[in-house]
Amino acid sequence: MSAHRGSQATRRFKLALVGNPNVGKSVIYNEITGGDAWVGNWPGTTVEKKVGRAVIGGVEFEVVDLPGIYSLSAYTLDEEVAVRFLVEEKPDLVVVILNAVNLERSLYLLLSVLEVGVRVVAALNMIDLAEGQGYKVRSDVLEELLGIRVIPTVAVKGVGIEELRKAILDTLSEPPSTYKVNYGVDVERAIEGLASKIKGYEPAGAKLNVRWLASRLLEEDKYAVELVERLNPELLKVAEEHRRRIEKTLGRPLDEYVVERRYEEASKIASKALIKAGVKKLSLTSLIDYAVTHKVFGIPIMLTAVYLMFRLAFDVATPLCTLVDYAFSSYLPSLISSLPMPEFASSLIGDGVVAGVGSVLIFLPNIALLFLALALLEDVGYLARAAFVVDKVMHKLKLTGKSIIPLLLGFGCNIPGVMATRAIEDEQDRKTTALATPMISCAARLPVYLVFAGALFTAYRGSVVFSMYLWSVIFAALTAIILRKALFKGVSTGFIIELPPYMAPQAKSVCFKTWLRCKRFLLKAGTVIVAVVVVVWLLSVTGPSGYLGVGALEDPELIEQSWIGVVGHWLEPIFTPMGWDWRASSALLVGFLAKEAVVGAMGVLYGVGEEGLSGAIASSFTPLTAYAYMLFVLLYVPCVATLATIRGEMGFKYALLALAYELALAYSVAALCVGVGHLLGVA
Amino acid sequence: MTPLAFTREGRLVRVVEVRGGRGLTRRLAEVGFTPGSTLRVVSSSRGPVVVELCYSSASRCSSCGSCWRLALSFGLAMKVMVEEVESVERT
Repeated sequence: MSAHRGSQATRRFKLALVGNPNVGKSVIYNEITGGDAWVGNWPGTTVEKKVGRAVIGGVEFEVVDLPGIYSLSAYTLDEEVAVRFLVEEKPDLVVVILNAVNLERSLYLLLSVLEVGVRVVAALNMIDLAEGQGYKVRSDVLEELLGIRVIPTVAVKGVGIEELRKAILDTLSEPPSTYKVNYGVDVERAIEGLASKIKGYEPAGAKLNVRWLASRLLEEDKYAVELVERLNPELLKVAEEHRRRIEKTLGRPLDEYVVERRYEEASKIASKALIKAGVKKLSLTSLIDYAVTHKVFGIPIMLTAVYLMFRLAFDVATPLCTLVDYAFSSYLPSLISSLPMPEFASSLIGDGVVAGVGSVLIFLPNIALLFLALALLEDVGYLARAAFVVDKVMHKLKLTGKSIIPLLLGFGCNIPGVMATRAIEDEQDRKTTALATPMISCAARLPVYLVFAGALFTAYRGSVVFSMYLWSVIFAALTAIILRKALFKGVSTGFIIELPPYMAPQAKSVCFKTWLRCKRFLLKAGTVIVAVVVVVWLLSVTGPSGYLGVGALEDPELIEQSWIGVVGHWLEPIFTPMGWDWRASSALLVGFLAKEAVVGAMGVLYGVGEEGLSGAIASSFTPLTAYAYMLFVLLYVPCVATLATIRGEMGFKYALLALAYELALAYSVAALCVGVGHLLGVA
Repeated sequence: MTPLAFTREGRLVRVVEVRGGRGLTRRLAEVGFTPGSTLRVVSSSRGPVVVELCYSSASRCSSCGSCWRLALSFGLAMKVMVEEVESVERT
């Protein structure tokens, strides 16, 4: 520690936040860092990593928000990430956030962190809720029993944050925790013996906490085993001997016993610190839960919530989308074409870059509002219940309740949908959900349905568009079932979802979550889609004969010579059975890059612009071939940006699989649709 | 002794044992399903089960509802063996 002190002025200290899920950790993170965050992934995982900066009393901190966890036992990915960080990165200080409403469980985690041997400050959060429920938690008793600072806070109201910052600064000069849970004579003796053996193999300067390592080794903790194996595999055998001996005396598995001892200690401390102050009020949570998890009413209530969420996302967003559309398809292009620039450059910027940025931003109002609605439902506490309510239905589709969130997001855009699968712990469930999500009809596909339905199904327009959404859900379910049967055969490990008490949403926390998710969407989708639109532009103004001139974007004769047109001709024979011409095939090629571009591309290809497209479609499609085309657009390949996301989340292999599967599915379904139609005598 | 999945709503039950592999037993223990702990079945309908674990008073807690609520998938609830402590009517 003395080494730290000397260079304190220049050194940046490492601060980590640890807490159970739903304990208000993000709010405390925001209060400490001022909301500034770099968001990425922990190396080699899809677990989200959030890092920010804070200055407290002139001292600079790097603040790392560890995932919400219940213990440090490396059983789930989140826990493994957390324990690895604490042991390998050796943060200078750890803030453990305790839930005053659930003290015992919070203390269990706190004890696990103390045992690692780091400097700890505890924030005793949600004291207002605890008091509302008729009991008080004495932070001074906790301080005395645990030997660390414990600061009562109400993070959402900013209460206690100043004191917490001060305690962080003060504790920095204290020695790390030496708190020990007493595991009983037999286990303690084994820990001691094992610890001194490990010490013998410890590389110089490693500063391992050998007591912690020894106790975790006895528990057969995955991460401890890995660490010790690196030191000397012989140690594992010694540990095994100790364990077998102890288990014989105990008559039960050692890890179970150790967890229980730690729990006992936690509840002993909790009972000393808790004071019952008054009469308990009848909890609102119980009442609401009774309704929303009800056997009969649960699902209708959830559907209503989802319906309202979509109304919000689509109705409120419409004027905003129109505004974005006006700016990017009328105002900016005319502004750019009025600038003195060579035609090529002006078209590249106007029809390529600006159109590309526009095609991302056009979805932002929808997606931001969906994110907002989800953050609201999440903070209120409903989302966990929704996952629970739909679990029974989702189980039939071989998915879990938690799959509902990615699938819902998918209606806005498949990209955040695929990204949201991270929250699913079970690997098989996660992959199945991620590959089923692109079947969900995103907002980008809607314009295609609208144009086709408007052109050929005037009277049944609404029903035809709705049928596409129905198909999308059916195919998502089918995909999940097929994947489960063929690829991800393992039985789902099952879920444990915490149902947090209901709370009024806090504007700060909801806005921050929404903003963070929008930012990630813009970064991910933005870069890919803008690049793709520029590529489409390039393929339209060049062809096998070379540069065609930007006139190709308005001239159907010329665009037939471009790469887009030429490839459309190559593809035409493949789609002849469905009755689609080369223009329809070319538009599909464009749609692979970004589905919202299909309509615009058709306007150019038929030489009629978007206004005259209805007429052109009505004359080159029959209702049957048009319906097949709509089905094809729904199902064929996720757009490039979604594929890139699948690759990022699951690897190249799965992106390829998604591509091949969806192409095959779309083609078979479209062909089947036309075939059945002919049999029934529909034209 | 019955699996938690087959208990009825409103009952107070005590965990007797958790029948699972090492990892599973431990994961359940760490969220509070240790032998001897009492919990209240909030909702159970041959699907996932909602239970309420109460620590705050370390004794029976039948009405506070402020305790930790957990939803357990049917599969997991089948592995937790419980016995009924007493019949309590839902409030």
